[in-house]
Amino acid sequence: MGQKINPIGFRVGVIRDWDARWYAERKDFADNLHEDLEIRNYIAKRLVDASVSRVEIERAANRVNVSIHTAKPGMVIGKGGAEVENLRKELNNLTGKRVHINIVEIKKPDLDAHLVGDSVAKQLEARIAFRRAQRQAVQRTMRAGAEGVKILVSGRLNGADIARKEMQHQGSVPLHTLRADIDYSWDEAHTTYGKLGIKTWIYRGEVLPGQKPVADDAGPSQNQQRRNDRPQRPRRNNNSRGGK
Amino acid sequence: MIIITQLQWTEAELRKLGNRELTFDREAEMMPEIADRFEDISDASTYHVQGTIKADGVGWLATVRATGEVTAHSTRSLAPVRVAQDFTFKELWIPQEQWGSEPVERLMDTHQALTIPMAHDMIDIYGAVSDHIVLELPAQILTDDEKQKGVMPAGEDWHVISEEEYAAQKKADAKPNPELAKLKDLLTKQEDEEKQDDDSDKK
Repeated sequence: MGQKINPIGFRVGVIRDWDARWYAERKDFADNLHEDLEIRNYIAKRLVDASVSRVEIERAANRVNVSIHTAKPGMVIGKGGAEVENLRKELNNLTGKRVHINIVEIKKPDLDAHLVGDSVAKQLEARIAFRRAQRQAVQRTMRAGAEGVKILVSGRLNGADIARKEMQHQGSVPLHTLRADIDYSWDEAHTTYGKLGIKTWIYRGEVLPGQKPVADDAGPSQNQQRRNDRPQRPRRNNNSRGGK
Repeated sequence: MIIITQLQWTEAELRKLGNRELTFDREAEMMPEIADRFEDISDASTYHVQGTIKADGVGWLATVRATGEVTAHSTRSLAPVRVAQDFTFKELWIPQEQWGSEPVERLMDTHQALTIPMAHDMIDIYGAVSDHIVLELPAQILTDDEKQKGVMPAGEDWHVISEEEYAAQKKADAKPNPELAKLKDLLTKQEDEEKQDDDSDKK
């Protein structure tokens, strides 16, 4: 089951928090939900180049707190904060409520599936060979401290007549393990030959329910720590195999 | 028409070398290629590109090292930042007619170098270097001041915070309301009372 279901939805409420955190009476619920969708769509369109990973929305009385998680806060703010001021005013008009914007700078963009997928998509649009883009993304993610990564690119690769899929992976991605903190994203690259789909899975380590996700920590993950603490087994010398 | 620059070699040229290794050490102007394809880079210095190309089974193995500098924008403030680059890559270039054959498929799984199909029977090191300039650009670029001081901008009803600050804020917000905290024991108390009642009934 873990192999088919969306890894994020599978883990919400277990090791992952909701992106919308508010309570509403029955009569207000639909309105608030649609307002959330409008806010998310508006931000996604307006900040398409700002490497926005996710948008969290909290509500209190007549106030909406929007937290934008991004790797490029400079693109969200604009020169002298002009862009974010405009964004706040437009969100105020859109919702008719007072909107407060938190811009959260992502410390390790290479461990965020959406940011990795989005950067691969932009590289494909800039005509970089897909194998190079895929390989580099996998290596960078592993270097940033991931325990496993899988990137699948599908479509008319290198402009071929027949669409196909190619996957590169390193480490493990235990999709069926609920405590495995796996980030997933699906992104699209618009090339001259049509659309290419990029699916990204990043395994950031284990999280026990109620614990903070590993991506927020600067130190090694539980698994890595356990591996480091384990006594090293002496390795077999390959040169001596079969020799006398 | 294909214009061959100084860092491109045709398969025919390489075949003439036989088993010998082709060594190159050149300066390449990368900005024309980069400006055309990548908006994020506003300037690039001349790159020093050196390496070797040699026959390796069904293809040609290229080992390349490139050094130079690009100007990109700070991800936090959009200020221009000079980023020094020094990277090495190994690629196995496969002729188009061999691509997709069984030995090549096997090589793709086992060879350490990345396999790349040759377009127009040519090994394009210039294109490979320009691709790698973009691929090697870090995801987070900060000016020296931003790295040392860690200053985050803020304004009216908006501010930039780090992930740590955000996590601390969330933790503080998650503190239970002291009035509601009393309800926590309500159900356990009720259950205990019910159990006691049941026990006394049985007796």
